[in-house]
Amino acid sequence: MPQKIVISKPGYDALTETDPNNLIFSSDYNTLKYFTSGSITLDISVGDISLYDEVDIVQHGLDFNPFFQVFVKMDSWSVWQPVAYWTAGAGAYDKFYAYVVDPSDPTIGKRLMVRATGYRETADSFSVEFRYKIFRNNLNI
Amino acid sequence: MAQIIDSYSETNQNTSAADYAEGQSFTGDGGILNSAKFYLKKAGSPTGSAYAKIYAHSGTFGTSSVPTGSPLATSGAFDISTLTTSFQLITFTFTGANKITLTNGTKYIVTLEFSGYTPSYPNYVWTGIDTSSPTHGGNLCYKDSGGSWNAVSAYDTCFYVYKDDATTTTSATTSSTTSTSTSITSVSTIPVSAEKIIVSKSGVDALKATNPNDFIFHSDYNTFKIVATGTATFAISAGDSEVEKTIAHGLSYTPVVAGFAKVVGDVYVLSPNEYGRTITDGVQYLGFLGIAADATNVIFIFNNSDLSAENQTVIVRYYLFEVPN
Repeated sequence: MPQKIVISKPGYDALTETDPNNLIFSSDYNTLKYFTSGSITLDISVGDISLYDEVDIVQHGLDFNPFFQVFVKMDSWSVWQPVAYWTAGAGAYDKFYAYVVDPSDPTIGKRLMVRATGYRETADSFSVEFRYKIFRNNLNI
Repeated sequence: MAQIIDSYSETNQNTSAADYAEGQSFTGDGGILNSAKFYLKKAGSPTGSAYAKIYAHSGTFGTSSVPTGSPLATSGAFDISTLTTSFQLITFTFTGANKITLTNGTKYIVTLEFSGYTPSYPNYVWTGIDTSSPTHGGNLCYKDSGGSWNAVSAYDTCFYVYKDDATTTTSATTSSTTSTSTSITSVSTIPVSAEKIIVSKSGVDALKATNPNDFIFHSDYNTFKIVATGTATFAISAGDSEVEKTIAHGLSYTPVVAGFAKVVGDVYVLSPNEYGRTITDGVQYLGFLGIAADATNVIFIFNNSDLSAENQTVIVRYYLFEVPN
């Protein structure tokens, strides 16, 4: 019989518990393994009645398309939002995206890209901070 | 923090003994020896060093327990001149090769022994013992002037034997691609409330770190478990607006889902986007609008309604997670 490593929450029997929520760790289930993390800040200035589109990259160097998770916060916010995210108000909208780029592309591969796009009716300057986690899990796509 | 393997509290002490060595039989529990304590005071001005030692057991436990053979482990030295004239619990720490594993259920003797000191008037090291109504399962033993060990079934020595905390101090690097294969030959259960399993990042002390970011794994923190993952390929026709594509996930409940998508031939892999991105020819957008799951299917929502849209083939990868409760 295959052996397992199971760590249950206190009060649960690791030998019989089947609800993954009650297991701190179980070798039956894969988990997301961190590779790297960090932050990128885009400083944006936009004129009257103008679109903006700013991109920045993280060179992760992995030879595969990794699982990633990105969160975003504008300097006027008090909360972090998962990317993709968009918001709109009177005379303005903002959209935030993230991609990874296929490592087989010799020019732009092995990157995580974050992007902020939007529109302002009146000139504005602000910053957008992205926090990212890149995992070792290969998307295999 | 060390944990007690066996003990007999100093609160039971009613008198004291000053022999060439004192000891007490006790029972191992499978832990790694960390330290021992005896309840000691001095009279006069004794000089020399004291040690705690662990021996194999001989005799009948609780009746005629005495040490046998050479010490299995010896603690670091304690300067007995620093004792006070009032009883104190004195700690003797075991390090290096002396951190032996005390087999679960096996009987041992812990002793207090001396170097450079013999008991003689007026200089003594007094060890707290219980001669009234001792309740520990083992028994006191002492070494006489001839070097022989003697058991006293009706007495117990006040003592503590500690084991290492079960925290794992394994250090791992997050950038290593080396894998190791471990053969698991037994299954055991450890109550998480009492023990911890910690794997820290390289360069971080697993015993001291408190930031979850510094742990590769920590049994105080749950992990977000992937219960299933898969890929699917969909044909998205030109003009499809907010079209849903589904794939059966095969679970008996509604899972939490995350996913990524790319147009075949493109180099960009997307998390869900409200709008999408310019695909290879640079003139049209394919939006990966969202991903969701119901009790049967994983549902992907795409938009391919740009004015110059063409038929596209999209490949997706999805992850199904446990449902947080």
